[in-house]
Amino acid sequence: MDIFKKTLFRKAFLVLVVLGIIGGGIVGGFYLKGKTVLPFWVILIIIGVYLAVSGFTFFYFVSRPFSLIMKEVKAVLTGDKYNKIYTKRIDEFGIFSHFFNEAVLSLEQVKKDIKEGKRMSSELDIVQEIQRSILPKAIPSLPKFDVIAKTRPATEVGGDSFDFIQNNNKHFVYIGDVTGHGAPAGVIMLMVNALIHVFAEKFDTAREILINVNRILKPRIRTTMFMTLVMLEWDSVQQKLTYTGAGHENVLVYRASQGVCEINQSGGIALGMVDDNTHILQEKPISLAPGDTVVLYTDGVTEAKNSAGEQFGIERLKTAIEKNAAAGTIDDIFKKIASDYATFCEEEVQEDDVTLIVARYTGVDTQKGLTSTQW
Amino acid sequence: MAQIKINIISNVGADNYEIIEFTGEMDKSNVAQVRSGLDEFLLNYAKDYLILDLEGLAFINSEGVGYLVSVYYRLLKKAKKMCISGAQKQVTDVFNLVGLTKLIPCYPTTQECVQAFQQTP
Repeated sequence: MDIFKKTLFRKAFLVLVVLGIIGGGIVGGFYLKGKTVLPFWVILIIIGVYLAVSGFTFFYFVSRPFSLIMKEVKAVLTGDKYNKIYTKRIDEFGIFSHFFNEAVLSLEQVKKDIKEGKRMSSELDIVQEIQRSILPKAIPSLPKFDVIAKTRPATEVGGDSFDFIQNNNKHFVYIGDVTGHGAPAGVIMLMVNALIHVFAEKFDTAREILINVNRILKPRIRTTMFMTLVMLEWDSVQQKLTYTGAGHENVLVYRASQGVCEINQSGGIALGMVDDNTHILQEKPISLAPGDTVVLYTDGVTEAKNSAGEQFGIERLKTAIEKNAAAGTIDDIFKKIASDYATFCEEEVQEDDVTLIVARYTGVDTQKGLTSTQW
Repeated sequence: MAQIKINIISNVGADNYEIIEFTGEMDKSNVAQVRSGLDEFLLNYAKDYLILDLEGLAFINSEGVGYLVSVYYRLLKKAKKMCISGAQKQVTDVFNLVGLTKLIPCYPTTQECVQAFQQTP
């Protein structure tokens, strides 16, 4: 009997067949008794039975379930409380009931996703505002250097930061990258930036600054989070450049006389990984001749991929620097390196923040106007 | 999404350590999956040492490193020790870069990890 359960048409057909058999049986009975014309009251009874059965069948199989479904659909449309429709029917109403149940489930999920999306978007706005507030809007002058520093956030906040801090004749330049994304990364970025500014007033060396930043930071952040960072320290009186690394990407130094780019490991250990990094952080010197260029970057540059899935990588960055470091002004150098990078990445979506600092040692003070830090 | 498979090897013939084998890649897309997969195991972990065998791990990024650090500290709180074995070159390069090797001992093989455990008090 399943075949008749599946569609309303078949149910109606079954009812008509049954009624036909009953009606035929009654007419046949009178015919067998020799009566060729049915009495009027018999015709009325047959019509009455037909109407009653048809009416009942229509009500039970069509009108009632239709009303039930419409009641729940109206509730959804008006925002009222609605219920799931429970049915064992497998005909058109059964299918429509199951469709309704699936549709409201999807609707619930979409509402949830929209709500979550709004919350995350709000959180993202806060983090982006934090990042914007920390990053310098323009590059201050660094004695005896031409400097350019630019950053471009990814669609999701990635944790890159950099800054320039001066304490008398000491100039500190740092670039850093927090693990993770979102508000926690933004807060760590803010904490580190504030701590660096505070300790730069108290300590003379990048190493001491970072040791103390780590000491305060480590107990206050989750064990899954850390910040890689490298800090240059330029003594404008002694004309001495050093750097201290905290687990960050390499420090690249382009040697103008040879046309080659050195790759120097920044060393150390990321901030927030150990309680005490005193015996791990080391200050390393960089000797410079006029024209030599120091390049700092975040992993968003080297880990950027093209459509073939290849990473830009340190070797391509090194090549771009060697090719363009003698290009002209520091702006020209940056534009050419950025152009090589963009050509490689093609139209691929940027997944991480990218930050690049290029500092060319000129040996003379150049009165350079402040330039924007937006990539 | 990066794919990763975790295999816990107990009963390695010694009572005091187990090995977790990682195969695939670990980055922000699947670090939550790794965390949920190992959470209960780490909560109930009672042996003295844990070895993370990364021979099959082709890639790890900073979020994956962050997770390894959290495992290290979680075990440290219970006075357990941890080491990493068999990391591929590109993974070791990441560890060296961020300084993880200065925190968590890394060895080429699990045997060397076991020897190191046996030698330290």
